[in-house]
Amino acid sequence: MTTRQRIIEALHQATGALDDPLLAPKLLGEGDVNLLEVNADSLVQFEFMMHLEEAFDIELNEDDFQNHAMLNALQAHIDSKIAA
Amino acid sequence: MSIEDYFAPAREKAFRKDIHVDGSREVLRCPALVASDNGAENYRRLAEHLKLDFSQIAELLDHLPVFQEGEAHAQTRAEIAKMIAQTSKERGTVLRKAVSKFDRLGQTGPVELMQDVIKPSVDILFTNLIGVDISKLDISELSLVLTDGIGIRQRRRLEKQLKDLDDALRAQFPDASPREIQFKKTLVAMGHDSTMGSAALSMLQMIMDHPGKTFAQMPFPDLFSHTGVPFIRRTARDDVSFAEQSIPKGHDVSVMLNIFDAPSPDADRKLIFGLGRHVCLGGPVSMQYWQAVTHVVSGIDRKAVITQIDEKQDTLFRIPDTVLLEIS
Ligand code: HEM
Repeated sequence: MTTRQRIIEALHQATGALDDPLLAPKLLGEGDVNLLEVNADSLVQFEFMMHLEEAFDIELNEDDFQNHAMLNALQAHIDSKIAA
Repeated sequence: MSIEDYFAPAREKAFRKDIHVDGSREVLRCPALVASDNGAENYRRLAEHLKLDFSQIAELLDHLPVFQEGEAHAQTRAEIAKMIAQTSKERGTVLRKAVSKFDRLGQTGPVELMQDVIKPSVDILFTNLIGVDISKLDISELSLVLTDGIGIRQRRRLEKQLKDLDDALRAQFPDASPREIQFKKTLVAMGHDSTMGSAALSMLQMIMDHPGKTFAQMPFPDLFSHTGVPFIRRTARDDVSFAEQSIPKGHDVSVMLNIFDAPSPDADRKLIFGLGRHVCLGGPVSMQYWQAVTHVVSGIDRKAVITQIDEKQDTLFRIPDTVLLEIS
């Protein structure tokens, strides 16, 4: 699985994003989405964070999300964390 | 050379969403800036949502004086002050033992200042303050209880560290009240890393300012020259403005305290401990500690060259993780 696919899986676990008819095509295609909008509820955002930390075996914090709100930016950020 | 070259700017550490205000007497005394929300409810909701246990964190947050005001705050302060005072009789002996760790700077060769000198030294001070051997416990992330910006893994580690400390305290003091146990944890969370950070930064800046000099030739000040607590947090109860800055009611504010670091005038330096009703309860103890440290170090006729400094990441306080010195 690619980094993007794993992020989307974590997002779906927390929000059910892939069940959203407007969001799913963007996520499954190449589209970029603002994750802060998808995770408007902070509890859901924390759940997404927890799934990401487990999926990639990394540590994240609120700044990581605020500074990389777009899916593509978060993907690049996670890739750089894994490489570090 | 300055320690600022080795550490992230204090403003970058401060809460991103806050309005950042330079500390001053006016700001610290401002009645419209009050303790911010303690976040305990958020932890409880998060625990329920994620099916995780954050009860230790939530319980401690409910006891931390920095998040309290009014009667409850006054009562908490009185109890903590009494707790610190109860250990004051042994302070002289304890300080001598604690600062003897700095004798290591009298031996030539490489030395790692944080884990080999400052941490074991500050551990001795806190072992006395709370009555359990802190050196046997991992308390490295306890001060993170003060921030809400950390991820889930860090929260779980924090919960574990608090639980282990709680277990050790309850085993040592089976008759202690729940409040006493929480206040002992408060002392560690508020005081341990802030003392370590302030001592390390002040020591490092002194070495940087006096290349080629021995410790004995360095003019150590009576007060920390630099603080490990670069900012504190408040919430605006009303609209308020300072100089050019307006803070709307309800907004959170990070008040920058590193502004009082040297070379600010000595009269301002003590503001690193805050001012007014939340002024640091451990200020006198940490100053006694620093003075005992500098007394020992001033007697060492050795030179130190800094060969490496790494900042501790993901902390609220400003504190090195590693400092390598070459002593000659
Ligand atoms: C150089 C070391 C230290 C520095 C720079 C420091 C700094 C501060 C500052 C700036 C505050 C004010 C917080 C605010 O207004 O929101 C504070 C509060 C506090 N400090 Fe310290 N501190 C140090 C050491 C200690 C030690 C050793 C202890 C305990 C033994 C301690 C215990 C506390 C407590 C309990 C409070 C809360 C007071 C309140 O909110 O009413 N501190 N400290």
